[in-house]
Amino acid sequence: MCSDQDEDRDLRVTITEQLLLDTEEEDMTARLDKARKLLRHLSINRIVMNNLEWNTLFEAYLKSLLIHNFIPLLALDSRARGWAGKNIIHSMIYALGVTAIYAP
Amino acid sequence: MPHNMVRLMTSLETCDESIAKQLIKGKTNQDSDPSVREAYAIIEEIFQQFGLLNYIEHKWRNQKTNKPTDGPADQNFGKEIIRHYYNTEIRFIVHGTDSLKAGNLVWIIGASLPNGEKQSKGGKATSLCSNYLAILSQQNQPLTVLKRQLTINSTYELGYFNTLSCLWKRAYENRETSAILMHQNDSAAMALKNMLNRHHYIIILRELLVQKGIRIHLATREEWSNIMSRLAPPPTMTTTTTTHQDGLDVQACNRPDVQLRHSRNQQLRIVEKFKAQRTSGLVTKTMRDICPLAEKWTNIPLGQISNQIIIMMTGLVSNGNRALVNGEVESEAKGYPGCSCNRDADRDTTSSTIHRLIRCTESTSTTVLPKRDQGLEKARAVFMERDKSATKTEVLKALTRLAMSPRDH
Repeated sequence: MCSDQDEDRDLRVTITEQLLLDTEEEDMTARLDKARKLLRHLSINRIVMNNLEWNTLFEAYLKSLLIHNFIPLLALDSRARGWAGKNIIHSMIYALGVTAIYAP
Repeated sequence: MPHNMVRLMTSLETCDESIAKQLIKGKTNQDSDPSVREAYAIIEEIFQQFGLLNYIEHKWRNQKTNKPTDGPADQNFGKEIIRHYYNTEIRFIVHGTDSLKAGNLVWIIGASLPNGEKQSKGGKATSLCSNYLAILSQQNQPLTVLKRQLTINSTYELGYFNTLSCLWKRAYENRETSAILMHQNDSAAMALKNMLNRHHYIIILRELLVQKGIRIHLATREEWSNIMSRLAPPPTMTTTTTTHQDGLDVQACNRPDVQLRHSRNQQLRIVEKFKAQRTSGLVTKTMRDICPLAEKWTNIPLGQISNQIIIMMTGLVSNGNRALVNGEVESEAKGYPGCSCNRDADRDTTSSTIHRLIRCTESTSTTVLPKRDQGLEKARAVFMERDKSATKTEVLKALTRLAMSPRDH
């Protein structure tokens, strides 16, 4: 996430690095790990079987964390968009227990 | 490849699509402050560099320019300031049908048309709001219909907005009567009744009806069906203009102003279409041989999908050395992956998994799919939801067994 407020930080002036998403922030990484583990447990224990419920969980735990919270920043930062998209799909693969196998 | 499979089966949006949707919603949200909408518009300007939004913008402009001109705009209506809170000094009360007596003149709004079907305009299905001016009669006597009209919202041709436009017109025009009769479950009537509804056009319409002294009477289902059965237009009825196929006068109205909402829904629909196009591109050749429709692959229970099924769906097959190879036939010169049997009768099939199901010399008997052509037919029928004797997961498991069993000949 962005660092503290700075008086130069204004959309009408310039877009600095402070308006870019900090993808290595510890707090967010920890929250993402927690969400992934929770979803994985739900999958292993077969608690959620319905697709609608899965989609709601993905929306609540992954998309809200990685996308909806950072819409303005993601709109400005293409690198962060790629990072968020990749993280969501990796988290879903991890949660569903699908191994990453690539075609030869 | 598993990424695409998971994306397809969960119908997951890409990050760009999610952001585009959020920006469109933020920019056109009637409930938010204008400064917030302005902020979203600024962000969107920066986001314009991204292709999807340019695509939406381009499509949206094309739609606007290609749109046929609607009926003449009603000049009497001015632009009101958008309000999100109603005037507490105005009390809006809905009445039952008890207060309506025989001999009363009433506008019946939202009645079904004589043929009982939704009307179409310009090749597009849209439910025009039909409204009858009728004299109420004693029970079981037919109602005398004096006037019959159809109303359409020139901005957004939806049944809900057509009814709102009709109410708006009734409030402003031809004061034959101050009583309006509607079904209690009509979406427009329910919106007017719901005091928590913060849409500005509902708030304004509600206050307009009160100021003009128009009373809304709501009928229960039984009362409504009774009135409808007695609603028979006289054969001598004449209409002013004949713009509709039934010879009825279609009145276009540009109020309430739902331009922002229309713009929002149209743009979101473009994003959805873009997503559908992208999703259909995720269907592999193996899957396309069974069912080319992407939406049929999205409602398979995720909890029942194993790694092996994902591998099968990506088109991989096991060969004689128990190694996984790409089972899709690229060209005859390169040979047929997975097995070496003659495929002359099977040239249309580009997937080795499907070949194993229908033509491969080894047995293709599985618990769910029968042998040869019937197996493919059944798999297709299950996926197209014509055959309920097996589930999609069972068919996928059977196909996976075929794809993963090694062929040694």
